[in-house]
Amino acid sequence: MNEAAYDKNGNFQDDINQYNANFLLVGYKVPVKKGVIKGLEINAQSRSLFHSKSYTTSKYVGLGAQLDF
Amino acid sequence: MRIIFLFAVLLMALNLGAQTDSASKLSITPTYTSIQTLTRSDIERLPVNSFLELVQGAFPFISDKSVIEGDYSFVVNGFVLINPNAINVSQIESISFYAVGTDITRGSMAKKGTFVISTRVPKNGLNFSTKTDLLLPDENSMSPYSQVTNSSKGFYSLDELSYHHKDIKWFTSNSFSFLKNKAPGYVTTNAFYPTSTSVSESSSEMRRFRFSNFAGYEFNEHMKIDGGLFFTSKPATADGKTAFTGTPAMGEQIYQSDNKGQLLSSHAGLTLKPSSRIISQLTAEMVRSKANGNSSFTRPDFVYPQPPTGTFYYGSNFLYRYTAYAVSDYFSWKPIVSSKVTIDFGLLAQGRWSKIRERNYSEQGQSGQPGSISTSYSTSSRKVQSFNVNPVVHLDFRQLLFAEAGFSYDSYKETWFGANKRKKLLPNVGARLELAPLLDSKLVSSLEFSANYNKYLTGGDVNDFLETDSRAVPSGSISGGPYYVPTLTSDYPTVENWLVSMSIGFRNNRLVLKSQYRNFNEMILWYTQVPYSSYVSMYDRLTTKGLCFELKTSIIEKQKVNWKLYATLYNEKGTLHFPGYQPITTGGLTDAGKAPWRGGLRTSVDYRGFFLQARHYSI
Repeated sequence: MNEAAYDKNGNFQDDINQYNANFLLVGYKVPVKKGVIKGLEINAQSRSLFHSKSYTTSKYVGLGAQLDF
Repeated sequence: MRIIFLFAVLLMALNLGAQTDSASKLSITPTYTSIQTLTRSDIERLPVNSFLELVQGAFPFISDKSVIEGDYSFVVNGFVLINPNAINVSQIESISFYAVGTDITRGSMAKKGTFVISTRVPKNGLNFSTKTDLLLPDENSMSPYSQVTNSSKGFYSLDELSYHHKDIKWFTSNSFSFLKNKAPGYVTTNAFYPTSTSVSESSSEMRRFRFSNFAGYEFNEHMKIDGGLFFTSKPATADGKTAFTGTPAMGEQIYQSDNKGQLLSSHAGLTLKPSSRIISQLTAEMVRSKANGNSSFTRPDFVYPQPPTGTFYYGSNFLYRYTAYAVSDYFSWKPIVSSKVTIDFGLLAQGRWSKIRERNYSEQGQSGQPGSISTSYSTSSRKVQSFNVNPVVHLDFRQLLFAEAGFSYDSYKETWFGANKRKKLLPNVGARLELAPLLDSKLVSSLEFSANYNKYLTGGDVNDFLETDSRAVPSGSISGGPYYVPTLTSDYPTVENWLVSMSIGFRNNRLVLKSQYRNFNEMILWYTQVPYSSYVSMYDRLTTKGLCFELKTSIIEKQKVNWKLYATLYNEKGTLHFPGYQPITTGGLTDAGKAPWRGGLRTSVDYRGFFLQARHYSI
């Protein structure tokens, strides 16, 4: 369960996934029903963006997409 | 290779199969209900790396500070498995957590709770999921000793490609993922000595490939087989690199490390249902993992002679191998099934063999001077053989009273600097009352009271010795591995759990409130470093009292709009009992003397194809 690694300060961590985090994402399911593509959704996502007290993780800002064939 | 070949043969055999509805999973009846379930939309969209990141905070009392893998059991599609981390996130359909256990995990097999994971319902086709994020530098995340002077962005991407196929008699679900997680880079100076010219540059990166595969075949309504094959590889990457420069006296110092790892696991299950009242599920599992890495440190040799003429270096290499085999069986017989009473005799049994081998090598000296080199080498091997039997009787009276009683027979043999055997018979009892039908109220849809007591022996897996138990070290300042196993002379290291809960649901459970009190009394392993000597470890008693409140509500339930909200609030206080010392109270496990309330909110809104998900947890 724990993924041991060195953090960005070069300190050994029993579990690199230690965090005190939040997630926020907004997205849209594109109404695609025809053809090869059976489903498509995209989202803008963030992790630990607000009020993060994390010592070992960073703020994530990015995009996510899911495609069903 | 043999396992891969066997799995390929199994897949080929499945492709020859045909026709009746299949892939039906064993239904799991929790003795104590859970009001929260993480569904696929809560799981797949989030930028997370592991199973634990998904569940911590979402369920009360579950956080990486308190979760010790060996304390919980994991049921995947009805099979009790050792390692949930081998599954690709996009294959998970739902995750539930049941405090104490379910009808197929009781006593020593449930331990402190059961995560029930179901994989995605097979639906023919391909699925591609991608998440790409920038990691923004955050000065607040740095050590207070560091003053950031420059930084660079990191990069995260998790791409998963899944293939699912379902026929009438069989299904297969295959997934491949690639993760890249590069942390932001920082250039820092010492915040306490701003006039110092010492500068450090740090960076780290992780990459991971993961295959996970499930397949199942249903011969007829009485027999089906399931299997899984999982492979994860983390190639060698620079997990950490820090270069200190600019200090005239010290010169440039470079610390760097890299490690790599592999995990191969597989399981096979046979479900037999000779009649509607008898079911047997046999599972065999194999897990093998390997990790090895290097770390090094170099600096000018400024001690002898002066001025520096050479380079001092220190390097170390470690190798770690974990192997486990497990065979478990769940058997249930319902001799009485009527509209009023159902009695179910269950038997859970598991045999497990696990082994860890470690090897460490280190070398230090001055470059160019062979006479200055000193080396050290250590190797160790630890084994645990365990056997657990948990017979239990369930009673269901008019869907109002659910009661059960059973016991655990736990037997362990640990081998490490001599053998250490222990075995014990320990009780498990519990009851749940559902009073809502008696109220005959349109407002109250469920009203549940439950209480449970169980006890089991500590030490079901060799893993228990590897994980640092942060609860034993409130300051969190002690690290290292246990190099000495205590001899158990006075007491058996047992865990004793009490759990009492109450929940009430309104308006067809659109609003559910739940409170839970739990009390763990356990022997935990901790260890510390003795100066100029070695590590010592010992068992000490830890009592943990926790209280939690949960809320689940569906605020809007319309065809076009859905708004759901979940909230948890919990408090946990632990007390360590050192022999000969005053007990130490640890609030929240790591903040000595305090017991802060923890928890958070999770919400999701869907409106005409638009969706919003948010969660914030303080854990």
